[in-house]
Amino acid sequence: MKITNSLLASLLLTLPLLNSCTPKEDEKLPEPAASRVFVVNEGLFGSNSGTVSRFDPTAKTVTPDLFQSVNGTGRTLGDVVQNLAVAGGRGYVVVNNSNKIEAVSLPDFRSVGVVRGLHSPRYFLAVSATRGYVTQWGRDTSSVVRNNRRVPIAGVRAGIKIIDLATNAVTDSIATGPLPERLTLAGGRVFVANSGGNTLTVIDPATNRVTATVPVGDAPNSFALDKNARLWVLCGGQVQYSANNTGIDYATTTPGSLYSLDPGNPTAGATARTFASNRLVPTDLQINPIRDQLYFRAIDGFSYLGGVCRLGIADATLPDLSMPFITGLFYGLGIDPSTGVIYAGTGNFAADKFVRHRPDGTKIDEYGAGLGVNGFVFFE
Amino acid sequence: MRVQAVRPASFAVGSRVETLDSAALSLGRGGTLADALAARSTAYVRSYGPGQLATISLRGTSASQTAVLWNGLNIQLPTLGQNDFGVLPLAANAEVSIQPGPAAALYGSGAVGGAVLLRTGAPVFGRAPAGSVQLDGGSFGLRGASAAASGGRGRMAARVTGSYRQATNNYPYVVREFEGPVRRTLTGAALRHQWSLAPDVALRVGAGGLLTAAAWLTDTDRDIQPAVGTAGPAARQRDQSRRLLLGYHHLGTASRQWAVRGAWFEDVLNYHDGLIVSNSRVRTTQGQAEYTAALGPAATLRLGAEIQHFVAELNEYTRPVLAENRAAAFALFRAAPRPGLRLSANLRQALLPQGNPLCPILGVEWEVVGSKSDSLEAVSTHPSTNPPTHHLTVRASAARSYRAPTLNERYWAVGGNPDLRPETGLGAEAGLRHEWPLARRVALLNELTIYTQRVDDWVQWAPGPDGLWRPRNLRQVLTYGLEASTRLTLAAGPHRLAARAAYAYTVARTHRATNALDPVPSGRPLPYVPLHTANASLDYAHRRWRLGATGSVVAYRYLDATATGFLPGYGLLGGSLGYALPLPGPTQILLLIQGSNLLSHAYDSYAGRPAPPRALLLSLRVGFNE
Repeated sequence: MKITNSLLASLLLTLPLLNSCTPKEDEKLPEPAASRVFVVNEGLFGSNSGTVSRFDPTAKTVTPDLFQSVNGTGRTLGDVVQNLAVAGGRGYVVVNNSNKIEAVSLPDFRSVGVVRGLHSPRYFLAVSATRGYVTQWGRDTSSVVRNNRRVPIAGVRAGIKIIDLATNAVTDSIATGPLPERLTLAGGRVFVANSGGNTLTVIDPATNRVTATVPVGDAPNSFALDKNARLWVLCGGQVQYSANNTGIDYATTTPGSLYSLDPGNPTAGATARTFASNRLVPTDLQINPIRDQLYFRAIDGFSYLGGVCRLGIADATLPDLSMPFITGLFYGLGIDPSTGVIYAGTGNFAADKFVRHRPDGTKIDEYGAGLGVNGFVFFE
Repeated sequence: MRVQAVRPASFAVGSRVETLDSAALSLGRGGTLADALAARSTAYVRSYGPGQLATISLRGTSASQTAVLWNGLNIQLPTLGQNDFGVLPLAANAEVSIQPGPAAALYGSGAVGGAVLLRTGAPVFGRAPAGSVQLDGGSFGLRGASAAASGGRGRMAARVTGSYRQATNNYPYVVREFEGPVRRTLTGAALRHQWSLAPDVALRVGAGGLLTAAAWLTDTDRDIQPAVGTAGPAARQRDQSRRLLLGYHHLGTASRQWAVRGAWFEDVLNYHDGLIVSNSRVRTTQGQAEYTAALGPAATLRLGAEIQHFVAELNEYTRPVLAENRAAAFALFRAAPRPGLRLSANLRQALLPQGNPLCPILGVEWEVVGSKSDSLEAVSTHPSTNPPTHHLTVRASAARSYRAPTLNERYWAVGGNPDLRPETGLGAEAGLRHEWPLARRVALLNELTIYTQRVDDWVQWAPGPDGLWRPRNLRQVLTYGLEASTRLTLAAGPHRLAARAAYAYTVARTHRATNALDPVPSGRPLPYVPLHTANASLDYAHRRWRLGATGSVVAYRYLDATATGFLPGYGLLGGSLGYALPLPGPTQILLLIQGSNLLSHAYDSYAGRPAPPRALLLSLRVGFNE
């Protein structure tokens, strides 16, 4: 059958042709200069589409999905890239819904290790040259649905996993309050924001022991250390969702608050101020290079998106959350520690971007990013 | 002589209808429409894996922009506004065709990218009982059985088809991790059961009456496979549909016909994973009436109307039980003013809760070479016994189409948008159809189509300053492309051959934002619309032997609207070999072995969903009077 053979032959000839027919090569961007911004793109939940983009502020170029482009096609970061932390020339990429941390060498982003055995990890902090802490939400559900039946499962305690940075192995745990989020080093102590409650867990990194539990406002989420070595703690307020998750119950939702304290003596002389309205949730606290201006996002409790607010550390009153300094539907925020340029990322999860503003709030420019820009890391 | 009913497709002058080979469908009847369309049509099927979600994209449009009709009635799931082709078993449908391109005047809501037309098949009266039983067993725990029986006596004809399938889908795949490529076995992807039962009866009443009753019951219970590399919870989903149809067709004379149809559907979709339990049940009651009259010797007019009443039960809706009505009236006209020239003008006025789109279609066909009879029915592609003559037909059509907002888009809590406007499309196409009887028993049919369509008020879930993610009318999308196909049929002595190949070039891009909240810049290619797709199939029979081959290629697909990450293209080969063993009397046994992905090419049809490697399927079929 001549026809058969020629049909099959033509088909087989087409195979490599179509395989090679991939998007244009000229979309590959040149190697950036020395200064780099890593843009953390969370990715669509459940889809392995979390990425990190590299932005070169001098050449104004963006390299999408740096990890895969460096480490080979098919080697993806995973599902929900929550956080990128830098320590000792390495980057630690916390991949929340893949229950792992990918370690990369910097600045080239080559894969050098992986930490497994985690349960919903959130944020990473290196506490010494050899040890890292990662907060994890664990699993407090006491039951799951299987075969249309609710069956009990063993919970996994929320807390901190201690990681040996030489072997990337989990060596121990530290219990915290519920839903531990960001953590920071200040005054020789590690402060952990227990966003499911109203406390900070304070840990001595030398001994890995909890030294104090400090009460703050409802749902603490982030920290900033100012030029006077005072630690600012932003609390979002406890958002109460109505039955069936169909809205926010503002009758019971508590407003956000802002605390400042002395990290060496956190319980004495702390200040506390509560925001006027509970309609928006303050989150994602950042500070400018000279560490006297605080920036944060005021987000909707349902969409997690909102504009950027600003507050001087000496300001007597808190800003009105509904009157942001930079208007927008932002999902991530970062301040360039050398220039003070404000980076804000969108979270529409369809075609996201990041927008740059000068410290005075005027817009500079914007660039395309991956899906769900939730943070920025500035690397010299 | 019996008068034939005039089908809606015969008003589709200027459009192209692809009909899937019925013999091939019959042998693959244990499978689903997803498999058949991917292997044997120009439609692109976005598949999450065997037994998993599979949606269609016709001419670059979204899954809800293809109308799916069963015996003339829309079966798109009213909640999602689309069909999972993985839960539509082939067994129930003797005829499967697709009509690419906007055709809302003919097929109603959803016929923006095109329509998939499923038919139980015309009743056969006065034929001896016939039937077949087929047993399937294959790789990765695939087990299945199917049966069909038909018969007619006097004024009655009856038929029933049924199928069952299960699969563990525990196939190997390779994932790239820190340590290098790691070979794993897929878990949590089992097709626990899938069955389909479709009886239908037809009864001649009086001089020209035909009463038909048909049912199609389907039930699928499956694991929902989380994306590889995610800590997604084990999920499971039950899809059940019960579709009942009662119709009366009065075919008194060729110049006067009328028909009424009533249908009742119930669609159940129950999903649960470790955290979420989501159960839904939608009941749809539909009625259609149409009157067809000949206007002189060469023109036909059809007037008709349809109503749909939906009742949805869903805890996630703004009200746990809610109802919605839709209606439409249509006028279809076709004419052959001179030999070789055919014209059509069709119009549908839809009545929706949120807008009333008016959708016309204008079409023309002109046989520029070798004009034949002015029959308006689709020209047979079977080998001609007439002397070889070229036939070249030029055709063109233009249409406006719409897609009604789905129940989820209107009523989902939180975010359902009751003010959402229907999506509308404005498109045109032109094509050539070349029939070339190469010899007395060999026929070649070549077709070429170019098209373009602009879809307005494109709907997407997007966040806004209201603090809500909700479906919004965001933008215009522009699609254009080319479809080329060739089909060769041969019937000479003991040889029977049907070979076809099709290629589609598809461009779909965001065109212009019509809403300030549109996050996607203009000019972006749509995700999961491959620029190139092609497939070919060959079915050959020689005395007792059957030989089949399929091949398909799909180019890269972007993963999202950022148009940066993409899945590489892939190519697949399939083949089958069968041997028919005659038994005494009208009984025959067919032994068939089929292979898919013969080169065991590793690829993801959808991101994070590794497709199966080479798989074999062994079938034994006993046919009686087939």
